[in-house]
Amino acid sequence: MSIKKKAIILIVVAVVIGIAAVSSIFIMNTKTKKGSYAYIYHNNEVIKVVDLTNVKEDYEFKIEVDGGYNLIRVTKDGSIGVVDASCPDHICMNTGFIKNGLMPITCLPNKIVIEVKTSLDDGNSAYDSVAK
Amino acid sequence: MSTRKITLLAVYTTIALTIFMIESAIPPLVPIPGVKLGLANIVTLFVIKRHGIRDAALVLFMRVVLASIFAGQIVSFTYSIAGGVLCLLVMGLINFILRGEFLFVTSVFGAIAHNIGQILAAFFVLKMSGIFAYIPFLIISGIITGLFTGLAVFFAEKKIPKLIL
Repeated sequence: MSIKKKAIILIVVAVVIGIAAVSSIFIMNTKTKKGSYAYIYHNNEVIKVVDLTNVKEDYEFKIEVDGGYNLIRVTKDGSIGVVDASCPDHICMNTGFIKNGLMPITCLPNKIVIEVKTSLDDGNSAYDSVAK
Repeated sequence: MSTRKITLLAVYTTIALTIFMIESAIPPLVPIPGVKLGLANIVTLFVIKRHGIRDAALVLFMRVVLASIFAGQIVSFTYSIAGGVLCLLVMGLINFILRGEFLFVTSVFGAIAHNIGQILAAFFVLKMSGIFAYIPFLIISGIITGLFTGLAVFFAEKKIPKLIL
């Protein structure tokens, strides 16, 4: 097989992977419902569960881990986000506020992950048992 | 390994490290961990093309070690090395299949492999399945940045004269 043919095959593979990625984002977008509980993990252990329903006033709390910290705000419209953090890249802050399970907030330096779920014991159990 | 070769690889490492440091000073464009331009990959692919995968592995390893010392934390070393090694292996394989031509294809697959390697490393560090939700975004960013770095290597390869070792 000529190199050109191989290259074309590889380009097609790349395009297919790309299309799959785009469509999976679309599917995730339409499937996700507004969540009601935010799970905050550190090293895969739930360290705090926040009820996002019936939040009367915006409030903030601080999570301190291994010498670092994340300042987390919960707002009246039921979303959660990081407003201040000790990590250098501030990706967790730039993610902004989330209110559904589409994308978690991740702070890799502090090993903090915030996930929004629709109910208290929702999904991901298959993965979690593997991870443990 | 001749002194000349060592010096040459040191120069590559320096260039890669400089690019990496400048890039890490640019604030993240997209709020997804792992999405970045990956400009240092230009050097890795260039060395693969010119000198083969073994020299590229040396340059990559030195760059990641030095970058972790200069740019930050031990945690980032795990992510960088996982992404870097997977990227190197995939680019080595595809470069072998394509006999050093169509560098942009090699680079696209390398960038995707790099991002997936990082997510896998993050999974083993965090033990959180939720972060796999980032994979589609990282694949798309890998395709875009991979095209860009691939073109950069293509032109660099044309312009930079071959050294006799």
